[in-house]
Amino acid sequence: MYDHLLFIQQQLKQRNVEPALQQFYRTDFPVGTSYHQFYAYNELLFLTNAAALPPGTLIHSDSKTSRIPVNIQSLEGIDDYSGTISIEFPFPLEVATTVEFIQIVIK
Amino acid sequence: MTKIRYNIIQLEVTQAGQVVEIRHRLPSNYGRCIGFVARHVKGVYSEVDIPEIGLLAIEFNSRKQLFVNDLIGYETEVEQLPEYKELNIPLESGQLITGYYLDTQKGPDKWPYLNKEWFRPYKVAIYLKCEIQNSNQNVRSSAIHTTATQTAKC
Repeated sequence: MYDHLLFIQQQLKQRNVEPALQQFYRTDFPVGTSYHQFYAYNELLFLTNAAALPPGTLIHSDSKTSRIPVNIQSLEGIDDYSGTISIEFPFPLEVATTVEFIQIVIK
Repeated sequence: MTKIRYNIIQLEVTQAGQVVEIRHRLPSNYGRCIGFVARHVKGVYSEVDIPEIGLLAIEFNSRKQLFVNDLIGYETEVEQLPEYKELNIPLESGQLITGYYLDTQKGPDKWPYLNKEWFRPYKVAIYLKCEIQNSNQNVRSSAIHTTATQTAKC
């Protein structure tokens, strides 16, 4: 099992990104949610709990887009998103769901 | 002396709502990217123009710079000479061009991800227009190593 925090630090260093702040960022989605959009300009959001999202969920941002695969266990790595971020569920949520990111605010 | 070279990235979209990841490496002697065109090239058929069939994002220099966010549409009449959109990106040698293409075609029902029967595979091409420096100044690294080895033996 690799270290998510170490991975993030290495990513920032490789991409010459100097963080001003690193913290957790959570968004709660009530039952019935099918779409949510929010903004993360001048920051990076690393998704940490992809396994909590239903397969087929589309996470779309200016820099990265990914769809949660059917075999959720295969998701070892974490992706980062920035800009306008939208989360589109394949069907309205049947249970309340929390999405958690590690937020990196860029200097 | 500066020369212009063109590089094509081809993307195949085989499923509705598919995310196609872009991981591409330009030749190491490319010094600057000065333009791009991205367009549908094959597969989608319609009698009218479709303003959006997908979204494109391209990052340069191994994810250091996000420079392109664009809509890809479908045109019934394709122009012979596409107009390149202007870029001015210094390229670091050997670094990756990354990004994604997201199919956003609207199907006949509300949840296109679940019903894919209407979908037909298609291709999108990204044309990059880049500058290289005079080829005499660019020596392959393997050639440098060979010369160094020979010098050491002498």
